[in-house]
Amino acid sequence: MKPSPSGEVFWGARLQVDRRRAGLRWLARALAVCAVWCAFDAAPALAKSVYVNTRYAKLRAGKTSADAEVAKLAYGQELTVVGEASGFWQVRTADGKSGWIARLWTADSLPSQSKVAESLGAAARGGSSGVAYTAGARGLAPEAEQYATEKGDYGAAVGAVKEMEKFEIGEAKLEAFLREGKLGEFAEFKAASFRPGSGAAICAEQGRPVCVLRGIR
Amino acid sequence: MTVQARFRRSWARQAAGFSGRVALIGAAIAMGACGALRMDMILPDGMAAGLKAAGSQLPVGTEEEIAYGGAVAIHIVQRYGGLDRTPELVEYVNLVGEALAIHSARPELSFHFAILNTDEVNALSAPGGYVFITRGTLRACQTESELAGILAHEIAHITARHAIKALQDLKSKEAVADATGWKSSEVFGRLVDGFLDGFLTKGHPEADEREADRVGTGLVARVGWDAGGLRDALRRVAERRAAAPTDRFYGTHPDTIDRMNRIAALLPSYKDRDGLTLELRFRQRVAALTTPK
Repeated sequence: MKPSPSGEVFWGARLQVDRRRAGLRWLARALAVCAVWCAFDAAPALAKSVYVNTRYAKLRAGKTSADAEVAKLAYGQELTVVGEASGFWQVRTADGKSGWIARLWTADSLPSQSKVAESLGAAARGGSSGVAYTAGARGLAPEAEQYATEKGDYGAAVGAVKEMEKFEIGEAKLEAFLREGKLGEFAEFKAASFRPGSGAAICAEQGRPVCVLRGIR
Repeated sequence: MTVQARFRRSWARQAAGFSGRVALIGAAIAMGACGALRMDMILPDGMAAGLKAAGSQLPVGTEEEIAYGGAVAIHIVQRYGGLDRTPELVEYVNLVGEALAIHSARPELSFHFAILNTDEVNALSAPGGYVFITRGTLRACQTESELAGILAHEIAHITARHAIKALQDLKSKEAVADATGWKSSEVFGRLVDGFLDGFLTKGHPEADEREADRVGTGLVARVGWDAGGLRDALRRVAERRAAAPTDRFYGTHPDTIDRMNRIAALLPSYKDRDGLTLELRFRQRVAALTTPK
Protein backbone atom coordinates (compact mmCIF):
# COMPACT_ATOMS: atom_id res chain seq x y z
CA MET A 1 0.00 0.00 0.00
CA LYS A 2 1.37 3.39 -0.98
CA PRO A 3 1.50 5.75 2.06
CA SER A 4 -0.20 9.12 1.88
CA PRO A 5 1.79 12.37 2.29
CA SER A 6 0.67 12.49 5.91
CA GLY A 7 1.78 8.89 6.18
CA GLU A 8 5.23 9.97 4.93
CA VAL A 9 5.40 12.51 7.77
CA PHE A 10 4.25 9.88 10.23
CA TRP A 11 6.80 7.36 8.99
CA GLY A 12 9.50 10.04 8.93
CA ALA A 13 8.79 10.99 12.57
CA ARG A 14 8.63 7.35 13.56
CA LEU A 15 11.91 6.76 11.78
CA GLN A 16 13.60 9.56 13.74
CA VAL A 17 12.25 8.25 17.06
CA ASP A 18 13.31 4.72 16.22
CA ARG A 19 16.75 5.90 15.19
CA ARG A 20 17.12 7.76 18.50
CA ARG A 21 15.99 4.65 20.37
CA ALA A 22 18.34 2.48 18.35
CA GLY A 23 21.13 4.94 19.11
CA LEU A 24 20.34 4.82 22.81
CA ARG A 25 20.19 1.03 22.76
CA TRP A 26 23.57 0.96 21.00
CA LEU A 27 24.99 3.37 23.60
CA ALA A 28 23.64 1.24 26.46
CA ARG A 29 25.07 -1.92 24.95
CA ALA A 30 28.42 -0.27 24.31
CA LEU A 31 28.51 0.93 27.93
CA ALA A 32 27.66 -2.56 29.13
CA VAL A 33 30.47 -4.04 27.04
CA CYS A 34 32.84 -1.37 28.33
CA ALA A 35 31.80 -2.14 31.90
CA VAL A 36 32.57 -5.83 31.40
CA TRP A 37 35.84 -4.95 29.69
CA CYS A 38 36.83 -2.56 32.45
CA ALA A 39 35.93 -5.15 35.09
CA PHE A 40 38.33 -7.60 33.39
CA ASP A 41 40.97 -4.97 32.94
CA ALA A 42 40.67 -3.43 36.39
CA ALA A 43 40.90 -6.70 38.26
CA PRO A 44 44.69 -7.04 37.97
CA ALA A 45 45.17 -3.38 38.83
CA LEU A 46 43.32 -3.86 42.08
CA ALA A 47 45.33 -6.94 43.01
CA LYS A 48 48.50 -6.75 40.94
CA SER A 49 50.72 -9.77 41.02
CA VAL A 50 54.43 -9.87 40.36
CA TYR A 51 56.72 -12.88 40.15
CA VAL A 52 60.19 -13.43 41.55
CA ASN A 53 62.64 -13.54 38.64
CA THR A 54 65.86 -14.45 40.41
CA ARG A 55 67.01 -17.19 42.73
CA TYR A 56 68.46 -14.56 45.03
CA ALA A 57 65.39 -12.56 46.08
CA LYS A 58 64.69 -11.62 49.66
CA LEU A 59 61.61 -10.27 51.34
CA ARG A 60 62.68 -7.41 53.55
CA ALA A 61 61.02 -5.78 56.52
CA GLY A 62 61.31 -2.29 55.04
CA LYS A 63 61.63 -0.54 51.73
CA THR A 64 65.40 -0.47 51.58
CA SER A 65 67.99 -3.15 51.04
CA ALA A 66 69.37 -2.35 54.48
CA ASP A 67 66.22 -3.62 56.19
CA ALA A 68 66.13 -7.02 57.83
CA GLU A 69 65.39 -10.12 55.82
CA VAL A 70 61.90 -11.50 56.46
CA ALA A 71 62.08 -14.50 54.16
CA LYS A 72 63.85 -15.95 51.16
CA LEU A 73 61.70 -16.06 48.05
CA ALA A 74 61.64 -18.82 45.48
CA TYR A 75 62.20 -18.21 41.78
CA GLY A 76 58.81 -17.84 40.10
CA GLN A 77 56.96 -17.24 43.39
CA GLU A 78 53.84 -15.12 43.01
CA LEU A 79 53.59 -12.01 45.18
CA THR A 80 50.60 -9.74 45.63
CA VAL A 81 51.50 -6.08 45.46
CA VAL A 82 49.94 -4.04 48.23
CA GLY A 83 52.05 -0.92 47.99
CA GLU A 84 55.08 0.63 46.40
CA ALA A 85 58.01 2.88 47.11
CA SER A 86 60.97 4.01 45.07
CA GLY A 87 62.49 0.90 43.59
CA PHE A 88 60.57 -1.47 45.85
CA TRP A 89 57.23 -3.26 45.88
CA GLN A 90 55.42 -3.85 49.15
CA VAL A 91 54.10 -7.37 48.77
CA ARG A 92 52.29 -10.23 50.47
CA THR A 93 53.14 -13.88 49.87
CA ALA A 94 50.57 -16.65 49.49
CA ASP A 95 51.40 -17.86 53.01
CA GLY A 96 50.68 -14.45 54.49
CA LYS A 97 54.16 -12.97 54.91
CA SER A 98 54.40 -9.27 54.20
CA GLY A 99 57.41 -7.19 53.31
CA TRP A 100 59.28 -5.38 50.56
CA ILE A 101 61.18 -6.61 47.52
CA ALA A 102 63.36 -4.74 45.03
CA ARG A 103 61.45 -4.32 41.77
CA LEU A 104 64.62 -5.35 40.00
CA TRP A 105 63.98 -8.89 41.17
CA THR A 106 60.41 -9.17 40.00
CA ALA A 107 58.71 -9.61 36.66
CA ASP A 108 55.15 -8.89 35.63
CA SER A 109 54.67 -12.32 34.11
CA LEU A 110 55.13 -15.82 35.40
CA PRO A 111 58.40 -17.44 34.32
CA SER A 112 57.84 -20.50 32.13
CA GLN A 113 57.35 -23.81 33.90
CA SER A 114 60.59 -25.11 32.45
CA LYS A 115 62.51 -22.21 33.96
CA VAL A 116 60.98 -22.79 37.37
CA ALA A 117 61.71 -26.52 37.12
CA GLU A 118 65.30 -25.80 36.11
CA SER A 119 65.66 -23.40 39.01
CA LEU A 120 64.47 -26.05 41.45
CA GLY A 121 66.84 -28.51 39.83
CA ALA A 122 69.75 -26.12 40.13
CA ALA A 123 68.93 -25.45 43.76
CA ALA A 124 68.73 -29.18 44.46
CA ARG A 125 72.04 -29.77 42.70
CA GLY A 126 73.57 -26.99 44.72
CA GLY A 127 72.39 -28.71 47.85
CA SER A 128 71.23 -25.59 49.62
CA SER A 129 67.95 -24.58 51.15
CA GLY A 130 66.43 -24.68 47.70
CA VAL A 131 64.75 -21.34 47.97
CA ALA A 132 67.49 -18.89 47.32
CA TYR A 133 70.53 -18.32 45.20
CA THR A 134 72.88 -21.26 44.85
CA ALA A 135 75.75 -21.16 42.46
CA GLY A 136 76.25 -24.67 42.09
CA ALA A 137 78.01 -27.87 41.71
CA ARG A 138 75.72 -29.63 39.33
CA GLY A 139 78.22 -32.10 37.97
CA LEU A 140 79.51 -32.54 34.48
CA ALA A 141 77.02 -34.34 32.23
CA PRO A 142 78.00 -37.98 31.59
CA GLU A 143 77.70 -37.40 27.83
CA ALA A 144 80.27 -34.60 28.05
CA GLU A 145 82.64 -36.72 30.10
CA GLN A 146 82.26 -39.62 27.68
CA TYR A 147 82.99 -37.26 24.79
CA ALA A 148 86.20 -36.16 26.49
CA THR A 149 87.22 -39.73 27.24
CA GLU A 150 86.85 -40.65 23.58
CA LYS A 151 88.99 -37.67 22.60
CA GLY A 152 91.89 -39.12 24.55
CA ASP A 153 94.19 -36.71 26.31
CA TYR A 154 91.51 -34.47 27.83
CA GLY A 155 91.82 -35.59 31.47
CA ALA A 156 93.25 -32.31 32.77
CA ALA A 157 90.59 -30.30 30.97
CA VAL A 158 87.83 -32.47 32.40
CA GLY A 159 89.26 -31.95 35.87
CA ALA A 160 89.44 -28.19 35.29
CA VAL A 161 85.79 -27.97 34.18
CA LYS A 162 84.71 -30.07 37.17
CA GLU A 163 86.65 -27.72 39.41
CA MET A 164 84.97 -24.76 37.72
CA GLU A 165 81.59 -26.30 38.41
CA LYS A 166 82.35 -26.99 42.04
CA PHE A 167 83.39 -23.43 42.75
CA GLU A 168 80.70 -21.75 44.78
CA ILE A 169 80.17 -18.16 45.72
CA GLY A 170 78.17 -18.21 48.93
CA GLU A 171 75.07 -16.13 49.21
CA ALA A 172 76.56 -14.03 52.00
CA LYS A 173 79.67 -13.26 49.96
CA LEU A 174 77.68 -12.29 46.90
CA GLU A 175 75.41 -10.08 48.96
CA ALA A 176 78.41 -8.39 50.58
CA PHE A 177 79.92 -7.84 47.11
CA LEU A 178 76.73 -6.25 45.80
CA ARG A 179 76.35 -4.16 48.92
CA GLU A 180 79.94 -2.93 48.82
CA GLY A 181 79.61 -1.99 45.15
CA LYS A 182 76.14 -0.50 45.61
CA LEU A 183 74.87 -2.78 42.90
CA GLY A 184 71.58 -4.55 42.35
CA GLU A 185 69.15 -3.95 45.16
CA PHE A 186 71.86 -2.18 47.17
CA ALA A 187 71.94 0.94 45.06
CA GLU A 188 71.59 3.79 47.50
CA PHE A 189 69.86 7.05 46.92
CA LYS A 190 68.71 10.06 48.82
CA ALA A 191 64.94 10.10 49.01
CA ALA A 192 65.01 13.89 48.98
CA SER A 193 66.65 13.97 45.58
CA PHE A 194 64.36 11.42 44.01
CA ARG A 195 62.69 12.85 40.96
CA PRO A 196 59.26 11.26 40.63
CA GLY A 197 58.66 9.92 37.17
CA SER A 198 62.22 10.33 36.10
CA GLY A 199 63.11 6.77 36.97
CA ALA A 200 66.24 7.96 38.65
CA ALA A 201 67.34 9.27 41.99
CA ILE A 202 70.76 10.63 42.45
CA CYS A 203 72.61 9.65 45.55
CA ALA A 204 75.68 11.26 46.89
CA GLU A 205 78.83 9.56 47.95
CA GLN A 206 81.83 11.58 48.96
CA GLY A 207 80.11 14.70 47.81
CA ARG A 208 79.51 13.70 44.20
CA PRO A 209 76.63 11.97 42.49
CA VAL A 210 77.69 8.40 42.00
CA CYS A 211 74.66 6.20 41.75
CA VAL A 212 71.04 6.14 40.88
CA LEU A 213 68.02 4.34 42.07
CA ARG A 214 67.82 1.19 40.09
CA GLY A 215 65.03 -1.17 39.38
CA ILE A 216 62.63 1.37 37.95
CA ARG A 217 61.38 0.02 34.69
CA MET B 1 12.31 3.00 -2.71
CA THR B 2 9.59 3.57 -0.14
CA VAL B 3 10.24 5.22 3.20
CA GLN B 4 9.47 1.94 4.95
CA ALA B 5 11.88 0.14 2.73
CA ARG B 6 14.54 2.81 3.41
CA PHE B 7 13.81 2.49 7.16
CA ARG B 8 14.03 -1.28 7.01
CA ARG B 9 17.33 -1.06 5.14
CA SER B 10 18.60 1.54 7.59
CA TRP B 11 17.59 -0.64 10.56
CA ALA B 12 19.15 -3.65 8.95
CA ARG B 13 22.40 -1.71 8.42
CA GLN B 14 22.32 -0.60 12.06
CA ALA B 15 21.65 -4.13 13.23
CA ALA B 16 24.41 -5.50 11.04
CA GLY B 17 26.75 -2.76 12.19
CA PHE B 18 25.91 -3.43 15.82
CA SER B 19 26.49 -7.18 15.43
CA GLY B 20 29.74 -6.45 13.66
CA ARG B 21 30.87 -4.11 16.40
CA VAL B 22 29.88 -6.58 19.12
CA ALA B 23 31.73 -9.32 17.27
CA LEU B 24 34.80 -7.11 16.92
CA ILE B 25 34.71 -6.09 20.59
CA GLY B 26 34.15 -9.70 21.62
CA ALA B 27 37.08 -10.79 19.52
CA ALA B 28 39.20 -8.01 20.99
CA ILE B 29 38.29 -9.07 24.53
CA ALA B 30 39.00 -12.67 23.71
CA MET B 31 42.33 -11.76 22.10
CA GLY B 32 43.22 -9.53 25.02
CA ALA B 33 42.47 -12.30 27.48
CA CYS B 34 44.23 -14.96 25.46
CA GLY B 35 47.15 -12.70 24.66
CA ALA B 36 48.14 -12.78 28.30
CA LEU B 37 48.49 -16.56 28.18
CA ARG B 38 51.45 -18.31 26.70
CA MET B 39 51.51 -21.84 25.44
CA ASP B 40 53.99 -22.90 28.08
CA MET B 41 51.72 -21.55 30.81
CA ILE B 42 48.75 -23.64 29.80
CA LEU B 43 50.41 -26.79 28.54
CA PRO B 44 52.76 -29.13 30.35
CA ASP B 45 56.36 -28.62 29.25
CA GLY B 46 56.56 -31.82 27.30
CA MET B 47 53.37 -31.12 25.39
CA ALA B 48 54.37 -27.57 24.51
CA ALA B 49 57.76 -28.78 23.41
CA GLY B 50 56.13 -31.52 21.38
CA LEU B 51 53.89 -29.05 19.61
CA LYS B 52 56.82 -26.80 18.85
CA ALA B 53 58.75 -29.77 17.55
CA ALA B 54 55.98 -30.96 15.29
CA GLY B 55 56.97 -30.33 11.71
CA SER B 56 60.18 -28.57 12.68
CA GLN B 57 63.37 -29.33 14.59
CA LEU B 58 63.56 -31.33 17.78
CA PRO B 59 64.01 -28.79 20.56
CA VAL B 60 67.13 -28.77 22.70
CA GLY B 61 66.14 -29.04 26.35
CA THR B 62 68.11 -27.70 29.30
CA GLU B 63 69.68 -31.06 30.20
CA GLU B 64 70.85 -31.47 26.63
CA GLU B 65 72.09 -27.89 26.49
CA ILE B 66 74.15 -28.38 29.65
CA ALA B 67 75.60 -31.61 28.27
CA TYR B 68 76.73 -29.89 25.05
CA GLY B 69 78.04 -27.01 27.14
CA GLY B 70 80.13 -29.32 29.29
CA ALA B 71 81.75 -30.89 26.23
CA VAL B 72 82.39 -27.50 24.60
CA ALA B 73 83.80 -26.16 27.89
CA ILE B 74 86.23 -29.10 28.12
CA HIS B 75 87.36 -28.43 24.56
CA ILE B 76 87.86 -24.71 25.27
CA VAL B 77 89.93 -25.41 28.39
CA GLN B 78 92.03 -27.93 26.47
CA ARG B 79 92.57 -25.56 23.57
CA TYR B 80 93.55 -22.60 25.74
CA GLY B 81 95.98 -24.46 27.99
CA GLY B 82 93.96 -24.89 31.17
CA LEU B 83 92.74 -22.48 33.81
CA ASP B 84 94.38 -19.73 35.80
CA ARG B 85 93.63 -20.78 39.37
CA THR B 86 94.80 -17.64 41.21
CA PRO B 87 92.25 -17.77 44.07
CA GLU B 88 91.53 -14.05 44.42
CA LEU B 89 91.09 -13.65 40.67
CA VAL B 90 88.84 -16.69 40.37
CA GLU B 91 86.69 -15.42 43.20
CA TYR B 92 86.49 -11.91 41.79
CA VAL B 93 85.52 -13.05 38.30
CA ASN B 94 82.89 -15.34 39.80
CA LEU B 95 81.49 -12.54 41.96
CA VAL B 96 81.14 -10.19 38.99
CA GLY B 97 79.77 -13.02 36.87
CA GLU B 98 77.22 -14.19 39.43
CA ALA B 99 76.08 -10.62 40.07
CA LEU B 100 75.26 -10.49 36.36
CA ALA B 101 73.85 -14.00 36.16
CA ILE B 102 71.24 -13.54 38.88
CA HIS B 103 69.95 -10.50 37.01
CA SER B 104 70.05 -12.17 33.60
CA ALA B 105 67.19 -13.46 31.49
CA ARG B 106 67.94 -17.02 32.63
CA PRO B 107 68.58 -16.75 36.36
CA GLU B 108 67.41 -20.34 36.66
CA LEU B 109 70.64 -21.59 35.09
CA SER B 110 73.74 -22.29 37.17
CA PHE B 111 76.49 -20.20 35.62
CA HIS B 112 80.19 -21.01 36.03
CA PHE B 113 83.03 -18.58 35.39
CA ALA B 114 86.70 -19.30 34.87
CA ILE B 115 89.90 -17.63 33.70
CA LEU B 116 91.75 -19.25 30.82
CA ASN B 117 95.46 -19.54 31.37
CA THR B 118 96.62 -17.43 28.44
CA ASP B 119 97.65 -13.85 27.85
CA GLU B 120 95.78 -13.86 24.58
CA VAL B 121 92.74 -11.56 24.56
CA ASN B 122 89.48 -13.42 24.22
CA ALA B 123 86.32 -14.44 26.03
CA LEU B 124 84.11 -17.39 25.24
CA SER B 125 81.02 -19.11 26.47
CA ALA B 126 79.57 -22.56 26.13
CA PRO B 127 75.88 -23.46 26.26
CA GLY B 128 74.32 -24.16 29.62
CA GLY B 129 76.19 -21.50 31.61
CA TYR B 130 79.97 -21.87 31.10
CA VAL B 131 81.76 -18.54 30.71
CA PHE B 132 85.47 -18.05 30.11
CA ILE B 133 87.64 -14.96 30.07
CA THR B 134 91.34 -15.09 29.33
CA ARG B 135 93.92 -13.69 31.70
CA GLY B 136 94.97 -11.38 28.87
CA THR B 137 91.48 -9.90 28.70
CA LEU B 138 91.37 -9.46 32.46
CA ARG B 139 94.66 -7.63 32.24
CA ALA B 140 93.40 -5.45 29.40
CA CYS B 141 90.41 -4.28 31.47
CA GLN B 142 90.80 -1.25 33.71
CA THR B 143 87.46 -1.07 35.49
CA GLU B 144 84.93 -3.48 36.96
CA SER B 145 82.30 -2.26 34.51
CA GLU B 146 84.56 -3.29 31.62
CA LEU B 147 85.01 -6.76 33.08
CA ALA B 148 81.25 -6.91 33.67
CA GLY B 149 80.65 -5.85 30.07
CA ILE B 150 82.71 -8.71 28.68
CA LEU B 151 81.13 -11.31 30.97
CA ALA B 152 77.66 -9.92 30.23
CA HIS B 153 78.28 -10.29 26.49
CA GLU B 154 79.14 -13.96 26.99
CA ILE B 155 76.17 -14.48 29.33
CA ALA B 156 73.95 -12.97 26.65
CA HIS B 157 75.11 -15.60 24.14
CA ILE B 158 73.93 -18.23 26.63
CA THR B 159 70.65 -16.60 27.60
CA ALA B 160 69.78 -16.02 23.93
CA ARG B 161 70.74 -19.66 23.21
CA HIS B 162 72.89 -18.63 20.25
CA ALA B 163 74.96 -21.81 20.27
CA ILE B 164 71.82 -23.89 20.60
CA LYS B 165 70.52 -22.54 17.31
CA ALA B 166 73.61 -23.90 15.59
CA LEU B 167 73.36 -27.21 17.43
CA GLN B 168 69.71 -27.48 16.50
CA ASP B 169 70.60 -27.08 12.83
CA LEU B 170 73.25 -29.76 13.19
CA LYS B 171 70.69 -32.03 14.85
CA SER B 172 68.44 -31.63 11.86
CA LYS B 173 71.27 -32.53 9.52
CA GLU B 174 72.08 -35.53 11.68
CA ALA B 175 68.40 -36.48 11.41
CA VAL B 176 68.13 -37.09 15.16
CA ALA B 177 64.64 -38.50 15.24
CA ASP B 178 63.74 -38.95 18.89
CA ALA B 179 64.07 -36.88 22.02
CA THR B 180 66.94 -38.92 23.49
CA GLY B 181 68.79 -39.55 20.23
CA TRP B 182 71.41 -36.96 21.18
CA LYS B 183 72.56 -39.13 24.11
CA SER B 184 74.17 -41.66 21.79
CA SER B 185 77.91 -41.06 22.14
CA GLU B 186 78.41 -41.17 18.38
CA VAL B 187 75.68 -38.65 17.66
CA PHE B 188 76.73 -36.46 20.60
CA GLY B 189 80.36 -36.46 19.44
CA ARG B 190 79.42 -35.53 15.88
CA LEU B 191 77.15 -32.71 17.06
CA VAL B 192 79.77 -31.22 19.39
CA ASP B 193 82.57 -31.56 16.84
CA GLY B 194 80.37 -30.03 14.14
CA PHE B 195 79.57 -27.10 16.40
CA LEU B 196 83.18 -26.58 17.44
CA ASP B 197 84.39 -26.58 13.83
CA GLY B 198 82.40 -23.43 13.12
CA PHE B 199 82.45 -21.84 16.55
CA LEU B 200 86.18 -21.93 17.22
CA THR B 201 87.16 -20.58 13.82
CA LYS B 202 84.35 -18.18 12.90
CA GLY B 203 82.62 -17.51 16.21
CA HIS B 204 78.93 -16.69 16.38
CA PRO B 205 77.15 -15.10 13.40
CA GLU B 206 77.53 -11.32 13.32
CA ALA B 207 73.86 -10.77 14.11
CA ASP B 208 74.23 -12.89 17.26
CA GLU B 209 77.31 -10.93 18.29
CA ARG B 210 75.38 -7.69 17.93
CA GLU B 211 72.51 -9.08 19.92
CA ALA B 212 74.92 -10.19 22.65
CA ASP B 213 76.40 -6.66 22.70
CA ARG B 214 72.94 -5.14 23.04
CA VAL B 215 71.67 -7.57 25.68
CA GLY B 216 74.97 -7.53 27.54
CA THR B 217 75.02 -3.74 27.69
CA GLY B 218 71.49 -3.76 29.08
CA LEU B 219 72.42 -6.33 31.69
CA VAL B 220 75.44 -4.34 32.85
CA ALA B 221 73.25 -1.26 33.25
CA ARG B 222 70.53 -3.25 34.99
CA VAL B 223 72.87 -4.45 37.72
CA GLY B 224 74.16 -0.94 38.20
CA TRP B 225 77.51 -0.72 36.47
CA ASP B 226 78.32 1.90 33.87
CA ALA B 227 76.42 0.85 30.74
CA GLY B 228 79.46 1.75 28.65
CA GLY B 229 81.50 -1.05 30.22
CA LEU B 230 81.47 -3.33 27.21
CA ARG B 231 82.19 -0.49 24.79
CA ASP B 232 85.16 0.60 26.91
CA ALA B 233 86.43 -2.98 27.12
CA LEU B 234 86.26 -3.24 23.33
CA ARG B 235 88.26 -0.05 23.09
CA ARG B 236 91.00 -1.68 25.18
CA VAL B 237 90.87 -4.70 22.91
CA ALA B 238 91.08 -2.53 19.81
CA GLU B 239 94.07 -0.70 21.25
CA ARG B 240 95.75 -4.01 21.92
CA ARG B 241 95.17 -5.35 18.44
CA ALA B 242 98.19 -3.63 16.97
CA ALA B 243 100.41 -5.28 19.56
CA ALA B 244 98.84 -8.73 19.34
CA PRO B 245 97.22 -9.19 15.91
CA THR B 246 97.30 -12.97 16.16
CA ASP B 247 94.86 -13.15 19.09
CA ARG B 248 92.03 -15.49 18.18
CA PHE B 249 89.53 -12.87 19.35
CA TYR B 250 89.84 -10.97 16.09
CA GLY B 251 88.95 -14.01 14.04
CA THR B 252 85.88 -14.87 16.07
CA HIS B 253 84.41 -11.43 16.69
CA PRO B 254 83.19 -8.83 14.19
CA ASP B 255 84.86 -5.49 13.62
CA THR B 256 85.53 -3.94 17.01
CA ILE B 257 85.11 -0.31 15.95
CA ASP B 258 81.74 -1.04 14.39
CA ARG B 259 80.65 -2.81 17.57
CA MET B 260 81.78 0.12 19.72
CA ASN B 261 79.79 2.52 17.56
CA ARG B 262 76.69 0.37 17.77
CA ILE B 263 76.96 0.11 21.55
CA ALA B 264 77.57 3.86 21.83
CA ALA B 265 74.27 4.40 20.02
CA LEU B 266 72.52 2.39 22.76
CA LEU B 267 73.98 4.31 25.67
CA PRO B 268 71.65 7.35 25.66
CA SER B 269 68.81 5.01 26.68
CA TYR B 270 70.70 4.33 29.93
CA LYS B 271 71.68 7.92 30.61
CA ASP B 272 69.36 8.15 33.64
CA ARG B 273 71.16 5.26 35.31
CA ASP B 274 74.53 6.90 35.86
CA GLY B 275 76.09 3.53 36.61
CA LEU B 276 79.35 2.84 38.36
CA THR B 277 82.70 1.89 36.86
CA LEU B 278 84.09 0.70 40.23
CA GLU B 279 87.60 1.24 38.97
CA LEU B 280 89.14 1.32 42.44
CA ARG B 281 87.68 -2.03 43.47
CA PHE B 282 88.82 -3.55 40.20
CA ARG B 283 92.37 -2.38 40.77
CA GLN B 284 92.40 -3.73 44.31
CA ARG B 285 90.97 -7.09 43.31
CA VAL B 286 93.16 -7.75 40.30
CA ALA B 287 96.36 -6.65 41.95
CA ALA B 288 97.56 -10.23 41.51
CA LEU B 289 97.71 -9.53 37.80
CA THR B 290 100.27 -6.78 38.08
CA THR B 291 103.06 -9.28 37.65
CA PRO B 292 102.71 -11.01 34.30
CA LYS B 293 103.08 -14.77 34.51
